[in-house]
Amino acid sequence: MNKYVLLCVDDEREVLDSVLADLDTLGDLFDIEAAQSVEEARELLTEMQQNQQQLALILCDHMMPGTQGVDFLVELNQDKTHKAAKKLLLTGQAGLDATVEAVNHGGLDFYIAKPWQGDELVAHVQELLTDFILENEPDLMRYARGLDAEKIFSAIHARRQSL
Amino acid sequence: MRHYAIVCIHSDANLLLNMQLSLSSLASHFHILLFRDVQQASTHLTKDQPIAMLISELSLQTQVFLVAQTQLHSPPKCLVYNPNDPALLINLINQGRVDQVLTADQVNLETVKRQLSQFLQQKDEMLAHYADVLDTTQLKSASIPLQGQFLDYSLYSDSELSNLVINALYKVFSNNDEHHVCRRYSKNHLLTREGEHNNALWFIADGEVQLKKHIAAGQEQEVTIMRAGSMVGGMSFITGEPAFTTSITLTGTEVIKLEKSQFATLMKSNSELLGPFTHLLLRNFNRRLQSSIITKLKLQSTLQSLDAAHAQLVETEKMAVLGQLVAGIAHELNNPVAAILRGADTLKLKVPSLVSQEISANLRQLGAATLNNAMKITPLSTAITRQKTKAAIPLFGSNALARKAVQMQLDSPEQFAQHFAPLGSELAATIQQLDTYYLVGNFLRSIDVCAKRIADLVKGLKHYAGQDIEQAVFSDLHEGLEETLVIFENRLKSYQVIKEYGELPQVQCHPIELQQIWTNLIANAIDATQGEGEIKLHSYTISKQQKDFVCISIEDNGIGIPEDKKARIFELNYTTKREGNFGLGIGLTVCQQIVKRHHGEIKVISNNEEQSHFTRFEVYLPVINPDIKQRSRAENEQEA
Repeated sequence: MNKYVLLCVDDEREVLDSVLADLDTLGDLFDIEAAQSVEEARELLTEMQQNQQQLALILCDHMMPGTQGVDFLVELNQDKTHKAAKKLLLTGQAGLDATVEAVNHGGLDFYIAKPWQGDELVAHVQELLTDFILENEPDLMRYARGLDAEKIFSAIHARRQSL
Repeated sequence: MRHYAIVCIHSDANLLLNMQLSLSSLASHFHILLFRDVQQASTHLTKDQPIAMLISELSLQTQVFLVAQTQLHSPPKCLVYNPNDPALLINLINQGRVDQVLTADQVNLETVKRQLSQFLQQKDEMLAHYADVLDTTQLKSASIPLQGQFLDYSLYSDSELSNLVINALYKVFSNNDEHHVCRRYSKNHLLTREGEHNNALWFIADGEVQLKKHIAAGQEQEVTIMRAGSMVGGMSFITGEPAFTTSITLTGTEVIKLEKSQFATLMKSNSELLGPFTHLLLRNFNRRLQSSIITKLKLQSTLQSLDAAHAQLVETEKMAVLGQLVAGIAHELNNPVAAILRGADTLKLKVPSLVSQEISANLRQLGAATLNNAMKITPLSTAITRQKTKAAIPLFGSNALARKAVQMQLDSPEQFAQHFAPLGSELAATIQQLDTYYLVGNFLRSIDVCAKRIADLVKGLKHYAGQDIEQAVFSDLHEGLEETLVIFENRLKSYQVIKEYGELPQVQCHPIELQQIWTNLIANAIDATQGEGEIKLHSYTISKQQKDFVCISIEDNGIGIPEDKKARIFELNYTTKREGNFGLGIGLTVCQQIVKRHHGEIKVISNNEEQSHFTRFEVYLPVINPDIKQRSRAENEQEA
């Protein structure tokens, strides 16, 4: 079991499978979890807390039955436990209002429009995860392979200097 | 038109000059030719110049000329000044003809006019042409005896005929108006009142009378305005039926008012009036009939263009709804498109490695089975996958490997024991290899599913935007409902759509028109619930008056419709819609019209109490329905 979790939420199973396939390479460093609705995602978060796992990044669709993506991001951002997690919207249809809401109150870190390019998605996710690790994880070395190695090594170097 | 001459011959130049002055009003229609003697006249008159009238002194010199002229094939009227010698006159009478002997020096214009009219009438000339200068009606009435026999009144124009009758009536009453038949009304005098009995007949000699008719409570509309020469009250007077219109004077008006008893007396004592009066009456009614036929024809063509406009409006409403859905539909398309693109990308990446992998025959077999399986079977839900993954972690060691095994459905302890336990350190690599087979199978399936979804959506749109064929067809109503739901799928994401479909027979209908009903009702349900809630679709069969009907009901748990507004919702210009809602606000009217054309019924059941609020539309349609009128196709095509 990995310490950090990468969570993907999309009501469309085919889209969700595509995202999971794209992010598969990160599966060694992070537990990759998938949920088909915000409600399911909430249950998952509770379970993670019980397992002492922490949410590192959420990649979320907006237009979904029940709670919508942006509202969920706002909810996470107001929750101390998940505030640190990187937040991505992967959507074809968040209107301007919803997007502004996500930026202002949801702590939105990135917006990817559907349809997306697989390598770009992975690159952005890696970038955000690198930032998350640098901000939250004392043991950086483990993540150098798989994330932005250069950034991580220079951070390791900087930390040693400051000691 | 020939230009006739009036030839005047007199030795007295002053008299000729006076004559010219007297006749000057006729100069526009006749050549007035003045001669001092016969010789002068003979020289100047050519054979081509037709002569309508000779006005001449009668002397030895003129006598021969006048005799000759009056013996021609079409002799002119001959007016002569009284000669002092009676022999001259007798001679002319016997040898030729004299129409009038003038006694005074001054020529009487009225006499000249009357004689000219007679001449023209005998010549079958168009009297109307001379109407400006000759008082033709008066002269005709003098020339045609007003007897009971049938006369050719077609010679008279409308105004001539009515003037004839009115003038004759004035003449009758001029000395003898004891009943005050000739009277003058001031403005706003009421003649007849619509729906009430009327005992009088009015001839309007001067002024204006307005006829008007009730069209709605407290509202009257002008029918026409009657002016001088018209008759008011004729129809109700003759038939005894209540007056058809209310008539009221608009200005000071001169009338001849005849009550029934006066009318009878008048016709008895002046029987010569019966002919022209009957004709006037018939002419009057004929004109009204003609004008009402013309009005009807005009109305028909207006109705036709209104029909066309209406058909266009309905089409516009349909497309307006579609327009509001388009953004959502584009998004709706975006998801499967994204999945297909990603799937194709992943396949490009994975398939070559699949082909080049060097693996054992056993593993290849297992891989092929996994691929096949993934292609056919809908993947487990994420929740179940997670649950099973948790259970499998102890066997597979890591979350990632366990999840992959679960996805491939190779995670049971038996399968682990069979396929994976012997592998030892090779486990991770093998699962990774098998996962490639799984991914390829799953993406092939996913591309297929997504492409079908796009195809369905496109089909639904094409169908909705299209036109029915002329004949009613037997159709599965559930299919139309489902197609409509596909178009709305994006908007319905935050709704619970509950379907309680019964067994329905195929229904004879215009399926695309019906789709417009479902679209409007679902759009209304979405508007009423403001973005989230519950929509129930219910279908069943029902018997009404021994006929089989199907009922489709669409219910939402929105705010409901207040009791006082329920009756009005089908009205054309009734809408509670605000911007951002669907359509033009005529959706329900359109629904009702389509249902009516299908000989069906649409009902609304609604409750707006706080505890239980809902709106349910029930649409009843006969199963067998061979004779359905269609929205004017011709116009729709024209417009296309």
